[in-house]
Amino acid sequence: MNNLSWEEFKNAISDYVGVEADEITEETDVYEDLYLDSLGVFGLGTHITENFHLELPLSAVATVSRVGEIFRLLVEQGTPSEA
Amino acid sequence: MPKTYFDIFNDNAERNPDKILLCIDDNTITYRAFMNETARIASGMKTLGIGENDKVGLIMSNSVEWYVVYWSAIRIGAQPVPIDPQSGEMELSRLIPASTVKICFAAEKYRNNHIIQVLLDLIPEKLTLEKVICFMDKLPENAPDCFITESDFRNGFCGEECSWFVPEADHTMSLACTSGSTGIPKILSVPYYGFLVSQMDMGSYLNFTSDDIMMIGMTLYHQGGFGMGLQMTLKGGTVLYQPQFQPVTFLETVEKYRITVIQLTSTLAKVLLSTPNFDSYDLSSVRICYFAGEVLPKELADIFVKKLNIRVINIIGSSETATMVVWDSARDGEVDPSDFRKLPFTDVKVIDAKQQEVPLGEVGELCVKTDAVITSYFGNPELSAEKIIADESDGKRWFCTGDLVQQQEDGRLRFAGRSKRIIKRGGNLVHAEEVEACLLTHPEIAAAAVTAEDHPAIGQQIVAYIQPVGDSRITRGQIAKYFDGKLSAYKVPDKVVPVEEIPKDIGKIQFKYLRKKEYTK
Repeated sequence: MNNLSWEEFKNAISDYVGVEADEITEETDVYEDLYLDSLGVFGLGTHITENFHLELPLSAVATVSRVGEIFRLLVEQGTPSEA
Repeated sequence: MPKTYFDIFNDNAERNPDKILLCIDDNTITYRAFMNETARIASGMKTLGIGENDKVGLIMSNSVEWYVVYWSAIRIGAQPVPIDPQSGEMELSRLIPASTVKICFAAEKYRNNHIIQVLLDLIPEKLTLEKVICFMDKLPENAPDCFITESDFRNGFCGEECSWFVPEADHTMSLACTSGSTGIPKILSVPYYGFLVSQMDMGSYLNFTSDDIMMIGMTLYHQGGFGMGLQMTLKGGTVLYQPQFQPVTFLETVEKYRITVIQLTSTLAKVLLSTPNFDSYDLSSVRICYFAGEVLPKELADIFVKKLNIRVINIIGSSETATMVVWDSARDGEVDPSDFRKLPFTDVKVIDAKQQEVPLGEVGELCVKTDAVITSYFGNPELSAEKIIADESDGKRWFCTGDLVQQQEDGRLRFAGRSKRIIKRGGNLVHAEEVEACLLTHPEIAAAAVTAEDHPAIGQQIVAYIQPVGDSRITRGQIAKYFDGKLSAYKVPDKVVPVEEIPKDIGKIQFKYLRKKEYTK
């Protein structure tokens, strides 16, 4: 567990995809609503993990598609990185 | 035999002896003084035992002295070898032996590079030179005998007269060093008559005359910057070099000297246009602007052509070909500046990996045939064989440029990128130039450089280094939004890194000097 906040997480996603943070909910689908392709989801994963200095196996990100699921993955499995 | 460079310069000097040939900072040299000075320095080189095909190194920044030394070597049939004055020990200890330089003319320092000190550290253990002529008042105490000051060289070795060498048809004019995109320098053997004819043809195509004044932002030691200036001086005009780009100084200089021809890159042009009070400067004397080195967006070209009434020439070419294919607003104004056409005196073909011509509409590598195509990469027969193809029909040479183009129905060539700058993102190929061109149209982006970064999952990801206008904050999200509808989604940069500045000393992006932007708040 780590203390990543939902607000910060949402803002970081907004910074990456260009959709207003207010429009992002736990139910938002990264493919349908954020227009990312599968490679883009990897890019998003890298952006988030670098931003919050967390490590998460990239393969884990590939299995989910809702923002809330990514958030929970990060909170539960994200470990602080060295940097 | 056709006319030599010195026949032409001498004609210009007789016609207009006091005409300024070259102006750098506040130093100038007239056509007459150029003929006299090159005779002096050339006679000194002769006294030192330098003659036909000997190599003379120049490790100096842009200066009138650089120009005189360069042409003095040519005057006696020797080959000048211009070397980037930023070069340090590692570069010089490789480049000087590789180009077989015998004597060297060197400035004391350039920016923070102490050139003479670097040479002192290398000679004689790691490097041999017969003479090092130093542009400094007094030599360091420990300097070996082969070091002399420029004034001792003038007083001890130089006379007043020196006839000029008339070369054979296949004579090499100079060795031009390019940094090479891999960091390993390439040394080009530039053909004497071929380069002369091509630069003369280009000057004629653009109607350069002795009334023209040209300002160049590239450096003299860069073959492209040197060649552009030569197009003007062969016609008897004046050339100014201003490699340190300061937008206000640039605009003031145009006004002051009533400059008629300028050279810019897209990035520099954007900086120039954003200068406060840009509209208050009188640029009405400028009739031609050369663009090279970067993608030129149509929007930007249009500002020059339609608003400022300046003819725009956008070129793709390389040091290896000298003349190239161009987009010329006077001829091609209606199409995008990435659609190029050959010049009346150049020839092109588009080939595949097996050197066969590809059908219309397919992407292939651009091959260019000009008089100036280099005869070889000096000391590198393998690379020469790979890139230079002899044309048996006329004895000229084709050069495989590494530029990818697509030939259109009307014969135009659409630039598709550098074969070396392709980013392999997952299953897609992305041309860095195309992404840069789109970024450059963003109002809050002053400059952009796109490159590939290895990524564990997708192979390579697209990284965009962005120099924002002022302190604008630009996120990847904003760029994704901006790209929406302009380019395919897979071409949106995966990572956006704001940087202080995108250094482009010689027109190409210098990725190694990029520094992350620090925001004040």
